[in-house]
Amino acid sequence: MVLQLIAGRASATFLASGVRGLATAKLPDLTYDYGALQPAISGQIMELHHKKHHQAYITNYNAAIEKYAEAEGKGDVAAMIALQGAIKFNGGGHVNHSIFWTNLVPSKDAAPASGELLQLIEARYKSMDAFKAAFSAAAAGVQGSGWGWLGYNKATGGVEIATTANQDPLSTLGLVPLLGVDVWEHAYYLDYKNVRPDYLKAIWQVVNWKNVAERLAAAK
Amino acid sequence: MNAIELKAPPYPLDALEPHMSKSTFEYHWGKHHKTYVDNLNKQIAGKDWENKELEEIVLASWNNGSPTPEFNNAAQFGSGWAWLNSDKSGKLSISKTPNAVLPVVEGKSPILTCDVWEHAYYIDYQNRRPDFIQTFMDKLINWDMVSQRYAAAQQ
Repeated sequence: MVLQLIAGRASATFLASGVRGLATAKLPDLTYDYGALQPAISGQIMELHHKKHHQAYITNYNAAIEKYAEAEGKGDVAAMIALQGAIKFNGGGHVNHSIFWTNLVPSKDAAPASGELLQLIEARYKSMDAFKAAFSAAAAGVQGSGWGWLGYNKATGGVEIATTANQDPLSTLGLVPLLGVDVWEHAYYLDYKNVRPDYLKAIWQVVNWKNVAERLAAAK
Repeated sequence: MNAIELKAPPYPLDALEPHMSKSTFEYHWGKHHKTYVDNLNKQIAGKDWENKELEEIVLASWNNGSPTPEFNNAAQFGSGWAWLNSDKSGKLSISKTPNAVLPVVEGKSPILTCDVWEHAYYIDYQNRRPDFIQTFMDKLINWDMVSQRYAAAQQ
């Protein structure tokens, strides 16, 4: 049984296994061709990013939870603790990239933000342009590997920009992810080399605001 | 003014082909490393640190575990580095530093390092970091320099 999960309900694809009930991760399909996000992101990057990088997180996550289940069965707490880093890193990688693919859409099919999403963004950032500038600045400022996010804050009922390091999911900051932009070098290096700000300027052409709005609706 | 200098590698930028391309050097040294040096020089201009050696700046900006902004540019912060270190007695240790610490702030003397930021290998190896590391180990290490550093660490 494949649990294909809806935006906002949960954020990644898992295959429920009969044996021991371990829900292993599975690579989700993209809803567009690898080349469909050009020129913002090349087909070469999309293919490497999806088929190699995301797949590696999945493979390593599945291996880690398998070992974790074994250790748990034996009551081997030291081994369980030792595996938690791998689960956080690879599980986070799977969650984050699964969100990312749905946050992107070919530019010809992209529509601007509207409705409640636009209202919440304008309430916090005054205008869409100001939001984009603030988001790009935050994402450009991530030191090393990480992600830029627009998150929903259930406590305040508002949206905010945040960043996470490595593959830490946005949930670690207590926010619901609406839009994530990967700023690991593998996400842009072949196209933009060291010029991360150019990537962050271009990516707005392919943001799927409809998906971002769906995630907001599901989060409330 | 005594600015930190971006030194050129001791070989032409294409000298390590095919294992590490000229293109990688043009970006890695010519852009990434240069940016760290330029940014650090801007940060230390007009301050005491302007006349200090790089290692002193690293240690001072590490600030006992609460790094000041200069640390990032002095200490090559980032995705990660692998290190072979020596202590004063010649005992070797391997360590890795994700996103922060240089062995020098732990009192170790590094004698060999491998940069595993994606920019260090992505043009030539894309996602295949293990292939990059294997090639680095087999073909690129300057063992003469490592030996010199090993001897110096024991002084």
